Amino acid sequence: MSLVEIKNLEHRYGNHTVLAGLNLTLEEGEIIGLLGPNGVGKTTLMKILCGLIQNYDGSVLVDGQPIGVHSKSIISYLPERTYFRKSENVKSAIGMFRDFYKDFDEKKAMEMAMDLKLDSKQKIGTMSKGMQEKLQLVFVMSRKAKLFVLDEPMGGVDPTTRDYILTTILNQYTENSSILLSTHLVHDVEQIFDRAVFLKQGRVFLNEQVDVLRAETGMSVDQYFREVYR
Amino acid sequence: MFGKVMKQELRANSLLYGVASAIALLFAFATVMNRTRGTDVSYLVKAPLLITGCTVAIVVLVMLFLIHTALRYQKSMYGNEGYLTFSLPVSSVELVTGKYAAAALWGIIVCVLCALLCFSILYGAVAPSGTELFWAEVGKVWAMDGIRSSMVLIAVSLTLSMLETVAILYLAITLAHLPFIRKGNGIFALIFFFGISFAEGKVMELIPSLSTEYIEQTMTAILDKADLDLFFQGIRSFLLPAAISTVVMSVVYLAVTILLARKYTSIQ
Repeated sequence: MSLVEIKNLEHRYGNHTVLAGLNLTLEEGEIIGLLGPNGVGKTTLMKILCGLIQNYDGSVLVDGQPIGVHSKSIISYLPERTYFRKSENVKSAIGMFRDFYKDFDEKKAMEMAMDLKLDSKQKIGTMSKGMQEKLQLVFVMSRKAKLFVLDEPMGGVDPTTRDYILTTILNQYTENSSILLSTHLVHDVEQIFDRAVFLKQGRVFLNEQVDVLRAETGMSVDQYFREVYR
Repeated sequence: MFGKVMKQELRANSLLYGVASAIALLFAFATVMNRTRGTDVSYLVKAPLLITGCTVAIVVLVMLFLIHTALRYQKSMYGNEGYLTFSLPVSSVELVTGKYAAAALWGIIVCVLCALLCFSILYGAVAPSGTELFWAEVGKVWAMDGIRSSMVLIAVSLTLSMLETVAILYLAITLAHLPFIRKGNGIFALIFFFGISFAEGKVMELIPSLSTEYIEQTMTAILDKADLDLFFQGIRSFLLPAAISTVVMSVVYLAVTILLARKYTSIQ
């Protein structure tokens, strides 16, 4: 059984079709780059997987079950924006994750928060945007989830933070889980990808292991990306 | 998970309601203490200010509760926080009912505080020399079965109405965030809120004991005869069906909200 099985997925925003019969299967134990230019449906696909969009056509199965309580319990989602209440502090946010997620490693989250030199009583609203993003990544990666869905985790951050994010992702990744990561910074991230999925016109244009892709095209993923979306 | 959703909601609102409740209690306490400790002269100076404070506190508490409940629901479901809310391993039923239960608990606390403030106003309006007479009158009124049960029914009906308003707010906000509504969610939420309230009023007209005509006739007859027992008997004749219909409608509104949240959620 595949970790994710998507068949004929369609979604519209008003009159605009975002996903037009998308088919995709993801297996366990891979880091998958979900790539494509703006508006191609990467974020929409991720939102559907995580239960944020429920008005779609087609079939989406995660771990053999439709999107619901079970799928949400095994997916760890990092959206493109910060979602904690500003009045909450690190300690209460940890308490919340502990309450809702059985696979949340509180000790690991606390250690990683300490690495960021965060005071556990500091209000999240008083942190810089970059710090809030790092904290959110710490929480998301402190789960022993089967699938990590990371939407633009390195969007708009400085190179040092980018390195921190990449290191965190790689350190927390285990072979029992998969990571679906969308990014525009293909050149910076492609070395961690096992597989690349290119979206075009609401469908999967390419779904290939990066080693095979490099061997067949003679180009890096970034070069091929530029070629495809030129 | 219902309990965990409720716990998170209670925690999210605790500071605001804690401060508001403390201020309301302070006014109630000051008004009562002014009566207990003050002489008739000092009482006359402070009482009007404290009674005004209590009255304002009632209005502020109710407005704060309704506005904050609406904003909290909107933010936690359809604002940035919605990205977390909808990715939690929680069913739509647990999500909406958990939030509603927390809001209902705060609503009941607000109603209890308002009742306390009302009592403080009544008590505070009597001069210190009239204390014995005040308690004697309270005891006399409370001893009358019909009046006591009517007063309890009035208090329960008001609380249920406030909780029904919360259910209408939830439904209106959920409707205003349906996928086909792209912009102006706040305006649409208001339109839906008043639309649903208006429609409910029209539906209630179909129930004989809740029709405007019946209530007007009953009240006119009561006032003509100037009989206190008859007055409360008349009030009970339409408050009881009103309370039942309020509970039924609240359940219907919540059920529709859950259904919409389950089928048509689209966090943008």
